[in-house]
Amino acid sequence: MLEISLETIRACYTCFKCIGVCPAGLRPNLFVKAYLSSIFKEFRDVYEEIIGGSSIWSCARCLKCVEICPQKVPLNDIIEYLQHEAAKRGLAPKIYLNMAENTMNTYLAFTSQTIVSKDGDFYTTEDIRELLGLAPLPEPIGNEKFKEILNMLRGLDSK
Amino acid sequence: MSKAKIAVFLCHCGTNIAGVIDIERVAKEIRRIPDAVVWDHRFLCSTDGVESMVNNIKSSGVDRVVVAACSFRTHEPLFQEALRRAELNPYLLEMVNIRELCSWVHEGEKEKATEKAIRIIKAAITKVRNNKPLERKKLPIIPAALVIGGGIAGIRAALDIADAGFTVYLVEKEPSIGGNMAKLDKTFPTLDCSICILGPLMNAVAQHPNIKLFTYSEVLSIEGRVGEFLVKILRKPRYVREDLCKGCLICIAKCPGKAIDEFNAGLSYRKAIYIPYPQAVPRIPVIDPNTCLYIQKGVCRICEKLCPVGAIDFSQRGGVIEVRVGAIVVATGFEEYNASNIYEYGYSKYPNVVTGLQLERLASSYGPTEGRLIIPGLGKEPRRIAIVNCVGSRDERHLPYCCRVGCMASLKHTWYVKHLLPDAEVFIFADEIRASGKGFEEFYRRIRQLPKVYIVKGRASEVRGNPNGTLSVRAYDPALGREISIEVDFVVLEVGIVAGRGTEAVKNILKLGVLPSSGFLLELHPKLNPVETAVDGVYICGAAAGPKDIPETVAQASAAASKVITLLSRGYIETQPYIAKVDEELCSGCRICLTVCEYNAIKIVERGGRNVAYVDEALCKGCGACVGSCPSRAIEVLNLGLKQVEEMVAEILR
Amino acid sequence: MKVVIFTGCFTLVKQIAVEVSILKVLQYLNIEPIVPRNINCCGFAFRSIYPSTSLYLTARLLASLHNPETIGILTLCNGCYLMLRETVYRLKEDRKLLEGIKSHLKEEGLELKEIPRIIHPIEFFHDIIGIKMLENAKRRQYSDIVVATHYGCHALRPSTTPSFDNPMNPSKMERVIEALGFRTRDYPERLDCCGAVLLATNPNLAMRLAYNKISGTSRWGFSLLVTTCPYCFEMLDSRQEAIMQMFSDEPKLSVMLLSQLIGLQIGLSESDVALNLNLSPIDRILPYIVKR
Repeated sequence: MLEISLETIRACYTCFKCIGVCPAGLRPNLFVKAYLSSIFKEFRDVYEEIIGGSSIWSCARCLKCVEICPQKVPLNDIIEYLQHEAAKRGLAPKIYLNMAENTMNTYLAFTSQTIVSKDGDFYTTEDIRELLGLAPLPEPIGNEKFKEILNMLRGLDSK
Repeated sequence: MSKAKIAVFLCHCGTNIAGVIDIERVAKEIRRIPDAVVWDHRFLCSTDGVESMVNNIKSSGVDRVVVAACSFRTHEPLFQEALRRAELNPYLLEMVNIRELCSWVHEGEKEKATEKAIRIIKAAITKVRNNKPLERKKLPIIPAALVIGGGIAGIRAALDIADAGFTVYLVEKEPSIGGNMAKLDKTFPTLDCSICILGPLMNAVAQHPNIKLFTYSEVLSIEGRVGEFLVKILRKPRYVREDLCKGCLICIAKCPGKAIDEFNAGLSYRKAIYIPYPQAVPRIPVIDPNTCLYIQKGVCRICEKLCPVGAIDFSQRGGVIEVRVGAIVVATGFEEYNASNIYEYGYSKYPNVVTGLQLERLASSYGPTEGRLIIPGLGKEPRRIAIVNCVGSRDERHLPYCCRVGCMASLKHTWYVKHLLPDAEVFIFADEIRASGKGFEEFYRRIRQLPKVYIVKGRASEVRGNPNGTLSVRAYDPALGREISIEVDFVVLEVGIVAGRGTEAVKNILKLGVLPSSGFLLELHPKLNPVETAVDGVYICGAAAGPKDIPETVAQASAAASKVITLLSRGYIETQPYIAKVDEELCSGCRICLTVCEYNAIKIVERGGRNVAYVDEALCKGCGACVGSCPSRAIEVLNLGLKQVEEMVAEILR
Repeated sequence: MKVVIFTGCFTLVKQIAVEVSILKVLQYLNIEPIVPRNINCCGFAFRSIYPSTSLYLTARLLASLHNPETIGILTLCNGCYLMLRETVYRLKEDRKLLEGIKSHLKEEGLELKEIPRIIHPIEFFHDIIGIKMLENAKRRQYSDIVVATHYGCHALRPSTTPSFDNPMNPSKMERVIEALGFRTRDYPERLDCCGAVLLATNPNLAMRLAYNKISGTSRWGFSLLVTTCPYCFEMLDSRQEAIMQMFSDEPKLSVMLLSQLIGLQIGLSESDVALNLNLSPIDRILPYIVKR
């Protein structure tokens, strides 16, 4: 499903420009190298370490590395590819799986929150929306077909 | 005409052709043609191959030849010469390219490639039967040359041609010759003072009896052909008479006009009447009409009052002059890419971020600070300097190619800083240092050994301003294995280069080819014809033909000059015989062919009371555009007649 | 003029002020907002884990939100905006993909007849409302108030997917704010990330990014930072106090939504734009903006 352009990724000439610009202190260039070197047995461990580690989940998706890359390497695509590979091995952070589950059940990724005002008043989402004359949250009625399709797609994505 | 007997030579080209195409099968197939005789050779272009060809033509008594080998572009002259030696007219030769057009592109399909080779050879045999003997004509050459661009490339080329005894018209758009080299303080890796080695050549140009120098001038149009170009040159008004001015420069002192100094890369101001720099050639001021108070508002004229010889002339108007030359050298040079486009490095956002060329001016003894290294806008000497390489270069977002001078310039600039301010700290940010020229690697080592110089082997990620006016350069240092942020007070960007501003106009005037991403002029062949172009009699050299340093530029300029000298000293050119010919019986004089001819080679003449098209043999390139456009089928290119083409197509489709 | 409003989940459940203030501004400008109730999550958070699921969710929005009587879908959240503009781009490029999505949508009784225009709030004010209109609507000139703009990463990047402004050097938000009578100035941290995406997986790192953004911006003496994105607002405004505490620092940057600033400037009240939900220290700047 996730298609990445290998030709463009191989264009990386290891100038390290992406590293200096990463606000999360990651090494986007290392993700590229790990992916490209994984076909050689000597470097397979680097790839495995990255797939199993937490660094791929520490990307803030600020996309600065993509903008700054002199070779137009789609670094966001490679990170998402590695995240997907990790997810297929059951290594995705639980919180994202819950958000997907929520979406399937309620259409929304988030449930009701507590909202604080400047004056220190606490409201639930429902209360403050009503108070401010906003429409209530969508109701998951008659969403069986939606659930069915989402389940099917999630199944495909996990293979 | 007696039935032609055709010799067909098949070349194996080692395995280049024979590794894909079954030569034996081809030979067998061609031998079935009654009037064809076939030979094959492992390397037809070897001495032995050509020798056997000559002998075979002579002994077999053939009167037409087909060579199935490689490209006519590289090998036709060789095989034509073989025909000449065998006492056949060389235009009775037909070459079939079964290498580039067959074996190389169909490597994986040997069967089909062999089939295709047979068909295209058969088509050539069909065609050559109707080839006619042709003759080249000799035309005289005007023994003079035009050199466009007065930088080091144009200067070198002009001097070489003039030294050989030919007249040279040197055209420069700026008020002085010298180009970019005049802006440099020193040259790498020897650290020669740039103007000290350029200055004598500039003066030699000014003094040379064979060189006619047109500064502050531009080429407007060029017509004609190799041997006889008609060139129109626009001379912009200087408002100072070149015949009277003695170069005392008294006129400049009191001028109230003020403009950004282009020569100093925007780092200082000049007057409205000015010479770009002290060593300018010619040493004749020019009045910039945009800032001159008199031209703008009708008041002032101080310069006129001060001039002791009455050389100031506000009535000057631009003039167009015409010159005739036999050959042209294009040397329009380079300029820095616009550094503001590389947003992450903050050029034009922060006054203390400058380009490499700006640093040259700051370091120069005739620059805005007279050789004191001072941060623009801050007025003090820098303590910590960052030099950023590959700015815009090797970057798919800007310039995909290497500028070929930035690495060495960054090392040279480090030397400038350490020479002028020994206590200053210098950081070079370069993922690679390309030091492949003579003495370059040694220079790199020398710079590395300077104290307080640190080289980061990673591209600078970005340059950020701080509220106190300093700049932070962020990068990753692979040697330390960590991200770094270096606070400096001065940043120098080694910016990529593009073809000079005048190149585009000259390209359009001469219909030259360019590389799309950069505007650099295309040579005829990158290896074998590096200074020739697709237009006969037009040569290129220097940075207009691609990024290069001074030694390469000078070598190329001399190469272009020697090509010009070769041409001019021969005294004549031979026309190429494949030209269009009009059948006046069929021509209706409709003029359509005139509109499609790129070379203005066709005109309408009167023949027996009728208007018909006429082709100028000297101008025609045989491109065939007129043939395709003619509704009466009245024009044909010699030895590529309509009937010949139809028969070839029929043969291939058989 | 009518426009579809797409809040996205996070605005809907948490950053209420984003929705309130834009609706009030639209009302003032005589633009009829269509606020559909049948919305769903765009799938941004889990787009790498379930790529085709996310794509379907976003494409589903294109089908369910589209209203041919409107000028398009005004998308309040930058994350949703990125998902929508990327999906529009992909579906226009890839017919096969489009057909596959359409067949699933059909099963749900949805139809994607045409692909609607996706509008970012900055684009909406700059290109659709227009600078002239804003200049005419403003109440006061505030010559000494200098505003820092914060576009948010996903409004503009990546440049491989077309957006409404130059991704490396945008200027439309500046022109909108200048039309309101304030001054703006470029600053090095302008295009820096708020860190919100990391809240789910690495909250400490998220807070560090936000801290770098807030403290970096504060060095330049701005009176106010303005953004449109609910996530950026969450980090820079709602959580500013907690973030600054974490790094033994004090809240120091006043933060407002663009729609709040426009609202105040055209004469709406503080409660109209839900200013009581801003938790960053805006009190010191308010007297210069609002007549009390």
